[in-house]
Amino acid sequence: MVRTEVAPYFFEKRGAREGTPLIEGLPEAGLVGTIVSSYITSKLGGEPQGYIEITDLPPILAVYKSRVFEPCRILRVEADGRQLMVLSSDVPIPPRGFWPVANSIVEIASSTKSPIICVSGIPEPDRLDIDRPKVYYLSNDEGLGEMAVATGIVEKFENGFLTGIKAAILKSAERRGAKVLLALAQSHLNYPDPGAAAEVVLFLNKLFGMSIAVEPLLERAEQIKMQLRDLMRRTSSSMAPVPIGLELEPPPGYIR
Amino acid sequence: MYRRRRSLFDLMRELEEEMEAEMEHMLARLKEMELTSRCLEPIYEILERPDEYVLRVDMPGAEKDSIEIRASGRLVRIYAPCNYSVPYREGVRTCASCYRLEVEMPAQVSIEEARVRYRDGVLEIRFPQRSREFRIPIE
Repeated sequence: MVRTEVAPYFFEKRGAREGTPLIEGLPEAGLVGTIVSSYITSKLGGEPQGYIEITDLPPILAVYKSRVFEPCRILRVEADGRQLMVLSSDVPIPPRGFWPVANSIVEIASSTKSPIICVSGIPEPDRLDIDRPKVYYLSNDEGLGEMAVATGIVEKFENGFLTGIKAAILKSAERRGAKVLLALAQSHLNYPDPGAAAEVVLFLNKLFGMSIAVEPLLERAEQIKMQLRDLMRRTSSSMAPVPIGLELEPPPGYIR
Repeated sequence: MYRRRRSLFDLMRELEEEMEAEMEHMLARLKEMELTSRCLEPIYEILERPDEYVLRVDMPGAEKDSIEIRASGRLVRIYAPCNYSVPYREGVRTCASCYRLEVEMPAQVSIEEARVRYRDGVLEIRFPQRSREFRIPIE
């Protein structure tokens, strides 16, 4: 069942080109999405394009250099002649808000015929032993899937479960006919993982022909982890009701 | 006078909100304690495997050689100096000078038998499970 409530949102269509990819980087496992979205916008600068209101939270505003921002916002960035929209959030989305926020994301993307690129981590218990995490992709659109394969650095997500906001986006997108590509890097579950985020940035570079350097991200990994520890703690506690453990399990599938 | 009967969903929602409020209160207290003591409580997890307990502690910025680990019975204490400094407001930084953690393991552990590594800001301690089991023959 796809729940249909839509979180209130504001989206300025002016300035956003049709087909501009919308990168969803909301806080989830390893804060991979948060690190990717925040790194891209801090590297390329961004113009506010809209926001989504998380109705299940009391009023919260973020302040940066005396400017007031909605915590869950969309910025428009230009990279190597290409336009991207980046959705990030300074606070975790409570599980009750998954459907409304996912529906808003799909509605926004549909209004500009934008593909949605969900970037996130997929928990890997042995992450400490992995130098370069793999990035897995999954798409509901053949063309997007082929683009992902053409980068040569991703593997297809074959079997497993998806939970949380990305699952809600994929389901909502099916209903509205929106295109979605998931890029999931092997990551820590409970600790911020800049290494996994760097692999996702490399993938996005190849996917969109950009050249965002990842070295500064890796060099500042420890500082980034420190900076994000409060958000990580909050995200872990907010995600407690989400069956994230499912992402470690193979689906039972069909018994033949 | 009629009193509206609450549905099961209302009750569940109330329970959920109470738990969220409790969690929020706990996070606020933890943050306040960290800011006043300038000592951070690291995020950690305990994994129980068939032959070992794994304690993973996220301590970015700690110096490997100055991490102190003590264990007594089920209690594990970890201390490490760090130089945590994050910009907060203009001209203000939140600072901390150490990580401190006291955690209770599922069973008694021995530090002498433990294997420890510190990688990418994560401290991992593997305590072998002391087996007190014996095999019972089935008649």
